[in-house]
Amino acid sequence: MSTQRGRIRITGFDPTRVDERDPLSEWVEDGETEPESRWRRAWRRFRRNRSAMLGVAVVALLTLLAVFARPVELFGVTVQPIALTPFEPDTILYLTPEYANIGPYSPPSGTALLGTDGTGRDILSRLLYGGRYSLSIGFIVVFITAVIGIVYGSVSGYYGGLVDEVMMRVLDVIFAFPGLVLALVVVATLGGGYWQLVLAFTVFGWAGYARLIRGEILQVKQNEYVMAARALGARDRKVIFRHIVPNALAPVVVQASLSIGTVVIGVAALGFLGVGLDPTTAEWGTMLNAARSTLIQGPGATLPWWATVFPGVAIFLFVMAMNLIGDGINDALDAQDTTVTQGGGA
Amino acid sequence: MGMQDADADSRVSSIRRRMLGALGAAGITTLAGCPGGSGNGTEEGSGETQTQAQQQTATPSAVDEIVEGGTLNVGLTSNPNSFDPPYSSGVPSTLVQNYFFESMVASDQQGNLYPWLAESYEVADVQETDRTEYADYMTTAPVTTNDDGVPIIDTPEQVVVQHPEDSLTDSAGNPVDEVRILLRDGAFEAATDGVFGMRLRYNLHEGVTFTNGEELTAENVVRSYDRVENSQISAQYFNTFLAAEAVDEYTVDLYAQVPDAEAERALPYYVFSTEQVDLDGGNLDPRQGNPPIGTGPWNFESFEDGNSFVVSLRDDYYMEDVGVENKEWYDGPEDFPNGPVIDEITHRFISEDAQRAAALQENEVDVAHGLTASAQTNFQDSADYQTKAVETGGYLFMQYPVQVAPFDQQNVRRAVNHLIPRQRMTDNIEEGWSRPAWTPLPELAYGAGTTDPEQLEEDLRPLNEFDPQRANELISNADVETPIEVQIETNSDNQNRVQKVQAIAQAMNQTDLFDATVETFEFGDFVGRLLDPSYAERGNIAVIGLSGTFNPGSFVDATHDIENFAQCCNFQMVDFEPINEGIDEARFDIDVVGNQQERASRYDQLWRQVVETSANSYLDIDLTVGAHSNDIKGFDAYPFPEGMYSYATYAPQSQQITYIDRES
Amino acid sequence: MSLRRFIARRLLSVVPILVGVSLVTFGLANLAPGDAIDLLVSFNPNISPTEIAQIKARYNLDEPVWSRYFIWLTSAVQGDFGVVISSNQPVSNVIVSRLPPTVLLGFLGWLIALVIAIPAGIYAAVNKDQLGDDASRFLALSGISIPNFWLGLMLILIFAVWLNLFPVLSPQKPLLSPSMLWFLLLPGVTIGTAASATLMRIMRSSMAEELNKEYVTAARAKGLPERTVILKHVLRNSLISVTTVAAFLTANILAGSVVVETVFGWPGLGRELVRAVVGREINLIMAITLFTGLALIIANLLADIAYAVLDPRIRY
Repeated sequence: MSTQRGRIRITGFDPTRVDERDPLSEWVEDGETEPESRWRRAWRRFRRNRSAMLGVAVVALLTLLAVFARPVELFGVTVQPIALTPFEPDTILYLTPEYANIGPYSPPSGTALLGTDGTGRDILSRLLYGGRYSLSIGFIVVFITAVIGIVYGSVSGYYGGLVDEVMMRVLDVIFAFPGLVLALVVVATLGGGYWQLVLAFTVFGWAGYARLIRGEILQVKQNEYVMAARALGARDRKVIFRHIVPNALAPVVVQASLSIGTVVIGVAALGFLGVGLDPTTAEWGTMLNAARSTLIQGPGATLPWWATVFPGVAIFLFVMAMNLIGDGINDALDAQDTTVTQGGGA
Repeated sequence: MGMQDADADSRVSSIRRRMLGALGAAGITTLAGCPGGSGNGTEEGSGETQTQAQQQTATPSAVDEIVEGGTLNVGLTSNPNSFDPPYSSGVPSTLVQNYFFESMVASDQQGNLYPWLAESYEVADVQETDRTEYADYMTTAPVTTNDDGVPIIDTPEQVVVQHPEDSLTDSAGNPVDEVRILLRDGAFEAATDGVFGMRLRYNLHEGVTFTNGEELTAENVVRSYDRVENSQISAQYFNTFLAAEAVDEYTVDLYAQVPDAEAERALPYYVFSTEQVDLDGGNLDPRQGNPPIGTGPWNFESFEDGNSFVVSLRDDYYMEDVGVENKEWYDGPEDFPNGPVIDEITHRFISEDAQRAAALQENEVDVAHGLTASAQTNFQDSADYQTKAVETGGYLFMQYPVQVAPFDQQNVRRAVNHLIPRQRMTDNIEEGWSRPAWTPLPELAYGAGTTDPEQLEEDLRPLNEFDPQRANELISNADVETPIEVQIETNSDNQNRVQKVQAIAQAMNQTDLFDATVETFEFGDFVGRLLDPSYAERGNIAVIGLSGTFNPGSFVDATHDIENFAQCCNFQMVDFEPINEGIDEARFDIDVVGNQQERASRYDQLWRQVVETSANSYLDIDLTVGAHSNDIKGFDAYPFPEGMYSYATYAPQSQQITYIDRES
Repeated sequence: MSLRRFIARRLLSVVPILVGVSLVTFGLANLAPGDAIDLLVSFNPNISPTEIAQIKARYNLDEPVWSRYFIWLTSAVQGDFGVVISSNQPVSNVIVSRLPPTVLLGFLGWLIALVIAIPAGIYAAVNKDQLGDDASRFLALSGISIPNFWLGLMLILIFAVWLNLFPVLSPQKPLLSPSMLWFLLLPGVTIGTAASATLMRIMRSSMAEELNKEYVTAARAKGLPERTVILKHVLRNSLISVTTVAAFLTANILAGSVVVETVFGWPGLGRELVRAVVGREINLIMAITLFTGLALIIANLLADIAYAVLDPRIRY
């Protein structure tokens, strides 16, 4: 479509000149400030939501603990030298000369504050260090899937027609898999491992966002400001990304923050089934899996509850915090109740 | 556990009963990945040098105390793949098959053989034959290549012998056009013409019936080998088996290809009924409408895939007719029952360790095996339960990449060996339910495997002790730069195993000599990786379990014989001529057929060579443990889990019988 | 468009979607290194390459991938899904025996989820912003945040072992017998927890929204008892939102069954899938994913139909 033909020209109107000219008068209404953007407003509401801020605090704390647990080296340079935990996550205590008497599944003590796991390693060290896996996989997966989903859904929704039909059929195929099933097959194919897991959850995770965005776009497409923009000759891509997406973004943000929890639990679930990260990894779900057989150990057993409780609590805290944040965002943005809301625990 | 030894020895004087034999479990050396069940054996872990298997006397003090009847509830680990012996593999399958199918001989926990379906047997003839002598009976078959470019023999028939001078490739490595092979007809002809390595004659009992009423005859025995053709276990059998002949209705001759000290154990196989022997491979299965028909004391009742399996006692078991006291070898109390005394056994398949322990704890099952070390300790300590343990017929071992520097140097390998914290691994990981493998020989093979087990351990233990100083010395004598980087690999689904590997890696890294990393793989992936011929070039150390047999050779030939390269269990192209010769001479030499002392002393030399060469390091030998409630009396464990329940319920050769007494 | 045309259109799309599912699964599953024969070999390592070739030929494993897919597709269309290599059983037998337990567990999970979530959601909405609301909100969030396998293990420990209220093993009775259903309570709760938490939140928010609407004020002004207002009018409109997540929750429950069946040893399709994946049993993997795919598509369809029926304003 030519941008020239039939174009309505409005002359004598120079927006930049209007913006930059001096104010016509000095009068300012009391208390009036610039009209806030939607996001600014949302942020203020979010800040006032106590449970959401609690969630933020918890996530921030867990992140800091994960980062500062052990030193971080990048290309041989020690970027982060602090070691909060006394031991490496891999150190087997009974093999060290000083702690030779601390065996596997030792209860919490002065040396090992949260006890030791089945291999004889300090649980506190592993818990803090292990946050790196869970947190990073959660955020990375959600980020990638959101981006892919947004682009896909936007394109599909905006263009409509045959393009939309075809793209939606593909989505239908993805939706026909319960998430974990597809992840299971992918991980079984590629083997366990960090990036394999990221891929496994990315493969189906984007579909939800795509459908969400597409739905929003279908609604918004009819709105006047979009028609106006197009009438003014704006290019399609600009229209999508400048106008539609920011407004459709709200439910996506809510979805994303709730998804992080789901991904973390999903990673743990795959570890539980034996197809996740390497079983020696300090990831929370994998730690839980390793202690699985200890829950029932015959009569008169002193259950090493610390091996199952602490990693489980860590997962629970993190996911809970993310859900509180997600809820808070939801309330703050006043986003419509999404048709595809998140549930965890799958 | 030694209770039968003295008596057995006196009876073992004749050639007939030597310390060989496997109850049901055919002479297969297998990769023990143990998916699903972790930990074995339970023992008081006290940091002592040797953990004694805890064993209560399994025989009742008086036969009068035996209470007949009742239903035994067993908690098994996993679902059997199939009920069809030649077409299934793995412990869960063999376990259920052992209730129905019997062989002409039976075995006790030390591997002594006892004529079972046979009234008696003898090694009738041994000849100094080698495989080239079958040339006259061979035919030729073309050689093609499969998809991977590996040359294969293009024939639908079972290959009994491939002419030793005809390789599948020529000197340039290209496949040849054809090769001479001995097929079953030719083998039978050769045997009846008098060309064979050994001939064993078995005299069957009369009146032995299958559960369908058919009487067992020599023809059944002979035909049973047809079922082994081209099955999953054909390679095992047709490596040594030549032919079988029904001499008359109740007499069978089995022929071995070459003189073989293991022939008595290796040749006999299950016997199938005429009704079932010709079924298509894999169809001998209740799910296909063919519940197993065997000579064993149990009737098949039901099988719910993934759920449960029930058998009930037959009333026409052959031993009732024969009378166990009439068995030549029987020397137990009078009035010993002529069959199991339990009416019914129900099995549940419970793959979760925690659930199995819970089921036993809640008395939803009476007996279970394969529990975790801690659970077993708890059951043992409890007043309401008992555990019975016997050393398993297998070990956990580490195989070095002997073709890749620096592990091609003996000093480097021995250095690693001295850095393995065996005792601490047993104490901390297995809680004492295993024995550090100071020698590569599990207890069950002591009979023919060593002249003096204690002396053997005394001799070899210093070579395997944890000794960082010695390791340092060895490395400094070697031509290598430290730290040596190496990756140790194992399968991920066996928790104990992973923990042991991690302990070894850490112990190695605590010195400055090594920089070891640990990598785990899912069992299927790991197997695929190991069996790839290129694995030997990678330079990684592999850790895996080996399950052997009563044959002491099974603990060395699998891991050292170049014939087993790219199979279990020689992944790294281990090939040391003196050891290869030693393996051969200890089994396939006419001087050791019938002479156990000679054989044992040859093995003694071999063990020393094996440990010094250090192509493999042997980590530990664990225990097979059954935990049960006090209602179950007389239960005992068996070195192979797949034989445990059929052995425990009735094994008069050890005066072993289990009965239920629920009120006490 | 009319309801009938809508349903017809959706039904037509079922087949292409299933084909798509089968393609994706087959492609992925065949990328895995090693096949079922390699595993067999691991147990019988003395098999020679000749014999391996013979066995592979029996199962068509020596054909290229696309050829194998067509072989599978042509027989699948006729109802033959191939055999499970390790046990030589037809796949359809396995599916038929494993499907009912999974369906039962799924239904029970759904039932429990509904029974918990709807009253809780109503309660929370009616008592909005009071203590009851906060408490139930917190409970719901916990339900979503707990890993379900951990929950299952805890339930076994507490209720079956410590308190002895439930059996540890599934009783050997017919599926629908009381003792079986009693046993299924724990797995049902485990699998339904996440779903019920999500449902509850949706109930609460959609009901809260409805309660603000004008027709409610009008009804109250008319003097209708509160109970009628809530149950007859508001509830019906809120149920619309429930149906929108019905399909999603079914997916949740199906995915959850994979883990829950493993924890409780329940012989269903989920547990079978894990074993098939570990054992590289392509035929079994294909059949199970197709079935779950079909189940989800039907769930989606039913949800859309329910949505269309409940809300006359919507016609897709």
